Amino acid sequence: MAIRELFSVLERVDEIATLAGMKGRVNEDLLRFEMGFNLDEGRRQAVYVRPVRNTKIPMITIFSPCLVRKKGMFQGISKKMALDLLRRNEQVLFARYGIIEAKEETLIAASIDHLLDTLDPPEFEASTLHVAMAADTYEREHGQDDF
Amino acid sequence: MAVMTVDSAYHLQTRAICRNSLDACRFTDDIALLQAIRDDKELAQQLQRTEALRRHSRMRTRLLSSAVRVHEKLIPNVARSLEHVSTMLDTSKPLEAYVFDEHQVHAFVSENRNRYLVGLSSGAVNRLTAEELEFVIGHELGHAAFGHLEVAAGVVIELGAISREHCKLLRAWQRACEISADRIGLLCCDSLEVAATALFKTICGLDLPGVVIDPGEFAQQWHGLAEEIMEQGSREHWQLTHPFPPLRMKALELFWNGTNRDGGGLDQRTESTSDAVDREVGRLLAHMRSAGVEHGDPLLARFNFWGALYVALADGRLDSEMLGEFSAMAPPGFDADELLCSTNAADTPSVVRELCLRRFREARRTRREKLSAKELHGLIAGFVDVASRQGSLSERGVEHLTHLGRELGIATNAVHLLIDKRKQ
Repeated sequence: MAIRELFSVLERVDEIATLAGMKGRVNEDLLRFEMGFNLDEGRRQAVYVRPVRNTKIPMITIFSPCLVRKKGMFQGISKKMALDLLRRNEQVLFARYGIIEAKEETLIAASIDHLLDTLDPPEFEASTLHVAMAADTYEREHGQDDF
Repeated sequence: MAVMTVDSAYHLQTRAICRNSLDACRFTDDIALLQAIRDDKELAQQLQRTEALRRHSRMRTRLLSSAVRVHEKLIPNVARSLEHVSTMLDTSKPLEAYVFDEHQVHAFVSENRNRYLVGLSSGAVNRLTAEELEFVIGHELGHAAFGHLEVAAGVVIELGAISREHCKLLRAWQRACEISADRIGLLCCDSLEVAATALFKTICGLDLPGVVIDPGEFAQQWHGLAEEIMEQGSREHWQLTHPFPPLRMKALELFWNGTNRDGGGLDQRTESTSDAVDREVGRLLAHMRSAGVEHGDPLLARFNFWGALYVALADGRLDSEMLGEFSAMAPPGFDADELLCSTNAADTPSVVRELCLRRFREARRTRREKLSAKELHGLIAGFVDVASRQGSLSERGVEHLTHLGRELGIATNAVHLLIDKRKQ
C-alpha cells in the first residue's frame, strides 16, 4: 500500500472517530491514529489504529498494548501465560489477545480488525472501548498501568 | 466534413468525417480520465506489462478459423454497412469484419499491427437492419478511432494486481469510452431513432421487425432508474464496464440535440454547447461512481440540498449569491427556483425551514442502504461549511447543525467536535 493510501486510511479513521465523538490524532511519523481512554480508578489506556498493509480493500487494526516482557532465560512469555491468553479470548468481547514478537522482547496486546468501508461510528466506538478495556484489565491484573 | 446523402434504397454518397470533427465529438471525461490513467505511474507500469499481450493478439487466427469473413459476395448487406462506416471514419488501417455464431446481439473490435478486426455475432446480423448495423459497427470503430484499444483496461483489472482505486478509475474510463463510441455510432447511422432501436435490440435481444424505438421514451427510463439509485444508495455500480442502457440513450439524446440545434450538424457544434452537454452527461455518469461525497454527488443530492438549505436559513434570508448556488444544487427533477424565491418573502423562512427538515427526513427514510461514515462525515462537514460561510457560526446555526446530526444518528458532541476540527 502506497504511503498516500495509508494516510488516506488514517484520515478516514480520524473522520469516523470524530463522528463517534472521540478525540484522537494522526501520528504521521508512526503512521497510526492515537487515542487515549480514561477508565475507572484514574487509569488510562492508549489505543492505536493502524492500516493493514498489503490488502486491496482498506482494513484497519485497532490495538492496545498490555504488557512487555524481555526475552531470555526465565523471562518472556510462559506456556501458562499463553494458555491464559487463549482462555481470555473466549471471554472478551470485540477484542482478542495476541502475542507480538520483537527481537528482544515480546508484547502482549489486545486488538481487533475492521473493514474500513463498512465501519460506522458506533462500531468504532464499541471496538476501541472494548480493546481499551481488555488491555487495561490485563495490565491491572499484572499490577501495571504502563500503556 | 460530415455529409451523408440518403436515397430511398441506401446511401448514395458517403463522405468521411474529418478528424477534427471526430475529435470534437469525443466525450471530455474520456479524454480526462485517460490522461489520469497515463499520468499514474503504477497504472502505466501495469499497462506496459499487458502491451505484449496486445501486440501478439491471436484474434485474427481465431476469427479466420471459427467465423466467416464479411465479403460483398458472401454477406453483401453487412459488407455494405461496413463499407459505409469505414468510409465515414476513414480508418487508418484496413478493416476486416467477421460474423461468428452467437445468438445474442454482440460485437467487438480488435486490432493487430496491420488491420482492425470487427466481430459481429450472427444474432446481430440476423436482427439488426443495415442502418442499425452501421450504429453498431460505428460504435466499435469509434473505440478504435479514439485509441481505446491501446489501453487494455479489462486485462489489467482481470490480472488483479492493481488497487481498488485504480480499478475504479479504469472502470470510470471504460464507461466514458462507451459514451464516446456511441456518439460515433450515431454519426454513422445519422438517426437517433436508428441508434435507439439498435441499442434496444442489443440489450434485450428482441427482433422487433419493422419496429422503431422512440428515443425519448427509452431515455425517459433513466429518470426512474436515477431515482431508484438515489434511494438505494448503493455505490457498487462502479464495477460496471458500460453505463446503464437508459443512461446511454439519454446521453445520445443530449448529444444529438446539442449537435442539431438550430438546424446545424456536426460542424455547427459550438464549444459552449459541447461543454454543456458533456457536463450534463458527466453528472449522469456520477450516479455510477463510488467516489463522491464531494459537492455534486447525485446519491446525496437530496440530503445536500435540503440539509444545506435548512442550515443556511438558520439566520434568516439568503443572499442572491446563495440563491444561485442552491438553484444549481437542486436535486434532479426538482424546480427549486420558486421555492428559493419564496424563502426571502416575509413569514416564509420558517415555513421553508420546516419543509427542508421534512424533506431531509424523507430522504433519510427512503434511503435503503445505510449512510456510510464517509458519507455522514461529508454531509455534516458540508453543512458546517455552509453555516460558517459568513466567517463565523451563529448559535442558531449550531442548533440547526446538531438537529441535522441527530436526524443522521450523530451525537451532539460529535457535531461539536467536527465543528471544532473544521475551524482549525
